[in-house]
Amino acid sequence: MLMPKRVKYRKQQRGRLKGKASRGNTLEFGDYGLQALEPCWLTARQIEAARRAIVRHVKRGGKLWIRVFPDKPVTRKPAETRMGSGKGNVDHWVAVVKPGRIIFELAGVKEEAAQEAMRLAAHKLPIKTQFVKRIELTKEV
Amino acid sequence: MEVIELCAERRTLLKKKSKRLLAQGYIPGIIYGHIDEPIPIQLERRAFREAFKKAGMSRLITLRVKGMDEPHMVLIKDIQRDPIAQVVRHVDFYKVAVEEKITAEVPIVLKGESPAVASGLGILLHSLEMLEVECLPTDLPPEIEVDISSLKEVDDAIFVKDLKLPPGVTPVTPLEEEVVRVIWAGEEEEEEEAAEEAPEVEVVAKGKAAKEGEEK
Repeated sequence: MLMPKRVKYRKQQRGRLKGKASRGNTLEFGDYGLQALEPCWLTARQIEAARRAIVRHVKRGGKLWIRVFPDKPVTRKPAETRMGSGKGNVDHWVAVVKPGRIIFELAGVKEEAAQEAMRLAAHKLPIKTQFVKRIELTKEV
Repeated sequence: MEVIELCAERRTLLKKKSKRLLAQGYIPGIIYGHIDEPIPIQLERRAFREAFKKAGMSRLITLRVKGMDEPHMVLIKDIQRDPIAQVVRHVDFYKVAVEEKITAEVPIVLKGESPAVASGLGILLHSLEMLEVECLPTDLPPEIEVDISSLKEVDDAIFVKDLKLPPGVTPVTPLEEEVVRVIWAGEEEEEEEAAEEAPEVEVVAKGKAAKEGEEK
């Protein structure tokens, strides 16, 4: 599963999820992509599950890019522990996703295959998403 | 070459208020460049769509603004889109001077078929879609064609320096930039059953700890 190799600080504050994605909101590498329509914390497990769904469907011939990285640690206290005594231990890692963010990109496959792969991947994610394809930059309005 | 015409009106709703225009079927825009003062304008969405289909960002448009006698020779310089709905929210027009060189982005169009891709060895990665070029407005090519039939092996690539540009057109994009490459089409993403136990993440010495370490 994806996680950072080393970090500057072990634990982080939660922060707020406001607004839309101002970066990472356009297709940069592939021809097709999966775009988030809602804000969320995507866990490394969810990203991995969606990635497997795509790879399993596409099999040979496709190239996949994962455009999000779970670099935010989420802490959890052990079960049946009294409150207090400081922040809990790091439990898992999440990627902060805002509406508009491209989560996956895919190239080298037909549109129908890409659409089906992204549909399967979307079922592994906790948010609404949409399938996007590279618009002809000079044609669409 | 066909002359592309577009009509616009002067815009009175400025800054944040210009968002109201989008709901009324207009696109806010601005003209700047070789002009005394930038002119805020509004365009009908349908008319703009037609003109943009023909002109793209690499052909000159004759833009007539209501109430102004002289038409403007402009180039579409920038387009802002909604990241989710992909609809155009604002357009920048750059007024050109015919005798002065400009920089503009020209689409790169791939022609032919790569033998490596046709045989299923690799897949085509088109990494540079627009090429920034410098030339006189009249010399600006509508698109640049790239023949990809020379890509016979995996990892073969075409760079900006390999492109054949019309006379009078020089690239601004660095010459070493990659336009298109054939990459291996194998199963790169192996299904690996990684150990569920997450390895420890190393923490870089921080704040006080780092300072103490230095002092010692």
